[in-house]
Amino acid sequence: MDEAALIRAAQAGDQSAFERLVRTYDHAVLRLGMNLLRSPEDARDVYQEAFLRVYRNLDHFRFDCSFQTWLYRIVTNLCLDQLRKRKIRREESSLRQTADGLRDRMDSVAEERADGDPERRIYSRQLKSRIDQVLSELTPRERLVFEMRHYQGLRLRAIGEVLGTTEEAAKNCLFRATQKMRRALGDFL
Amino acid sequence: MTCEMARTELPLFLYGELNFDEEEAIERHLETCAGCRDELNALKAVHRLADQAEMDPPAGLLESCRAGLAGQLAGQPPARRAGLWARFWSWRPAAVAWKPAGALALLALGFLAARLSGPAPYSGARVRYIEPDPDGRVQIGLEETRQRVLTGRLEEAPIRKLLLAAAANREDAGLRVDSIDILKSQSASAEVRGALLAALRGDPDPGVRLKALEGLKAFVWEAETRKALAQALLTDDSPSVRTMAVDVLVEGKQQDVVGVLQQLLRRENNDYIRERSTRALREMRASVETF
Repeated sequence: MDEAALIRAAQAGDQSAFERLVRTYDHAVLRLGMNLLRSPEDARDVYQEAFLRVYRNLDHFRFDCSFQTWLYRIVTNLCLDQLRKRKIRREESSLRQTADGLRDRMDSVAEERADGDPERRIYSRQLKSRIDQVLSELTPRERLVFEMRHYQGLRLRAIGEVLGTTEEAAKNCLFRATQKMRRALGDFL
Repeated sequence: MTCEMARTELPLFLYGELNFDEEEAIERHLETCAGCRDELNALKAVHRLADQAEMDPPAGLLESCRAGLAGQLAGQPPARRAGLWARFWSWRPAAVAWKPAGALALLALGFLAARLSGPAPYSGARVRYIEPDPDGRVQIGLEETRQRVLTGRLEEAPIRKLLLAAAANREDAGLRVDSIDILKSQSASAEVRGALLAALRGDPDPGVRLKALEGLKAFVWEAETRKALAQALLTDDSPSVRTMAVDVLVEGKQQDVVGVLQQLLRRENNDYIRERSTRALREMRASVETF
């Protein structure tokens, strides 16, 4: 069954079609949430809220854009809300209290993944910390555009559609984000 | 083109997001400017570093999200029947329905138009002569690259040939992503499948490799496809490509995947891929160790 048929079946109430639709995109949605929010809990919240909204509003999907664009619009709006709230509240949701004091939850994820080479591990940690820093300095829109272009491979035209802006504006965001990354990562080049 | 202008456009050049004329201008500049070539290499290095910093969801998170969503949906009222608009779309006469082939041809048109047109009417044109006239006006002779727009269905040989050529364009990753994205719906053709396999095996851009992989999903029963998937799984730098490769291989349920998954477990650091491989080996009653 192609995607349009799947959507129509889900619109008509076919639960298994809805589930197949979810499974087509949910890994990418979770990765996007995880990379943007850098917290498994927040990524999970975005995942659940996004697909619940899709479920509730699928009737209103009129095929005037691709399903992926429609879904990503929902996901990016949820992520933008989170990022803006954090900016206002300076919420440090990725920090947790441990015996050694406050630690970033993502550190443990990265450490579990790092291989046994101590030098490589130190390098990975420094690199991660620098990238975290520069990402936190990007505006929410710059982050979204960078994530969607670099990690998800979406074209700027599609990103513009998702964000409700022009391709040119998305291009400018990507340019600014890349320049900031270039400056911040200069020592690692 | 000045170095300042070139450096403004290099990040977009690297992502394949410039139009034809802009790319031509950058390439001409790069041929003669070692400083800008160095800057381009530095930007490529930034891309590689950013690739290394990509975060994957921790093992088990996707499954737990799916389970959580299923629980939440169980408490929702059943999805309503299609609304008026949805019914309107599904009942439109076949002649005007948005058929996949038509949509793809439109996509082809869109991408060709996007690649072959510039943002300004005279960008990329070369001034050949200037002649002031007695009325105070000026006549300017321009040399322009003539552009053509072709429209057609994917099944038509010239359109397919152009798409295959665009898929092999080493200079423009964006063009390759667009071409492979369109071609992947035609993977029943051996020629297209060959292009998808070549892209999966050798394209430097992970976005292109991902699109090629999507197109090959339905052919996991073919030994050649499985071989390319196994190679991607064991050697691809991108966790996204490896993740999709493991999903496709595991879902293919072919016995020769066992050795690949066992080999993978000795070198893979990604939690999701490890967990998926381990589970698949157990389901196939194979050892998660090699002896």
